[in-house]
Amino acid sequence: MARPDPEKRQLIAAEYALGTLRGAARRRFEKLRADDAVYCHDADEWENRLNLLAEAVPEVMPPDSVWQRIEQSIDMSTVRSWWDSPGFWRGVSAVSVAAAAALLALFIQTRPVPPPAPVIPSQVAVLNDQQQHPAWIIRSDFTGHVVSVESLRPQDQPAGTSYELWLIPSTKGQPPVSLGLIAGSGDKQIALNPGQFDTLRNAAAMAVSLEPTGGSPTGLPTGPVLYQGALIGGST
Amino acid sequence: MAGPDPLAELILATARGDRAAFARLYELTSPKLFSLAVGILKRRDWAEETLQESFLRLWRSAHRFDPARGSAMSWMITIVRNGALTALQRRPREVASEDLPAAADVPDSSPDPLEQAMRSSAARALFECLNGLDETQRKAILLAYYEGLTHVEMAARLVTPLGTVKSWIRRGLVHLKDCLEGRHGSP
Repeated sequence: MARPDPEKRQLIAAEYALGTLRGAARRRFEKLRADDAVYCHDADEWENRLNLLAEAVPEVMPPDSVWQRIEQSIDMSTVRSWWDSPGFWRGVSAVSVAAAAALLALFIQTRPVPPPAPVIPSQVAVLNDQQQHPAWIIRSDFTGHVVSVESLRPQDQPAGTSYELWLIPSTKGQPPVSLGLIAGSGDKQIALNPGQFDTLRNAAAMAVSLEPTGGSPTGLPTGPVLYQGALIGGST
Repeated sequence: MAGPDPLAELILATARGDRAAFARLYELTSPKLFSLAVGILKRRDWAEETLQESFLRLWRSAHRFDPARGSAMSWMITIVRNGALTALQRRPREVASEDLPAAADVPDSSPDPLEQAMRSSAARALFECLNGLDETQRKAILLAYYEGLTHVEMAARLVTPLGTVKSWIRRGLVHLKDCLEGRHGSP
């Protein structure tokens, strides 16, 4: 869709930032802003301008109960949280299943010489970022005891953070199991301990969360989940 | 932007899951943000709900904050004002609630010198430009910003035809932009 002339365009952004653009028109503009850098720039500019008006309002202390409820919600969300939420499972969408399935087929076809040990079907996950761009391929080898992490694109990692890789069990309510830290780029092999091995067999997805340096202090994900994908193959 | 923005540092720490930074961010900004929400919603209970939802949103999306796109305070204000406007859509406001604190009054755009001195230079420039607008244009812009009035609500409040109110706002915004850009020179 062609953009209106700059004056008209900026006026829409101004009314959006002011708040007089409402209802369906407001939602349409939000979509334009998310998709189009020009609208985004207009809106940023007007928000930065008009939000200075807030300097003139007196401060009003909210009651303590508001902060208490915020803290409770965060506590609950880190205990129960994203691995049980519909949002996460929507992210582990058909896209990542299809990508993993295609890879798995390729992987099985090209597997060299018959393996000597009991064969456990390989499992594969393609982890996408929040824009659904693939960032990592994770797969187990034929023994099921080693997982390889292959980085598709180097990922920017904020200072003071670590990426932590998680197995998400298919049973609802089961907490994620950590497979340890992975770097923003480069490949890695992870030898699984027995607990991780068992979880991998019935895991439905994998995810990478952003954690403090050294990994989650609690043993469960504490930071936002940045990458995720369905895990396919194996017994599932 | 001059110097590092302490609020931006706190948001970046929040994005790394730093609960203490998040608590500090709340402590520093919630009185102003709550005041803005009360001004729009006119009910403290709704404003409390909006503040709570906004900070949860902030906790989850702190990693999306980009200091290059604007100030931390502006980013937070936008989240709260959008939250308040969305809340109004869910439940149209009841006019003339008795539970209306002083913060809901439209602030005077030409306050006493002491208060003015405490404002940032950017805010002083904005208020000077506002004071250069026609009274009607200025009032319409301030009512829209501080009380979140729609065009229709404003027309009723000011007992003025809808088209007139719309054009006050549009012309006011255009003049405001020209004035601000004239002061700093176009980038």
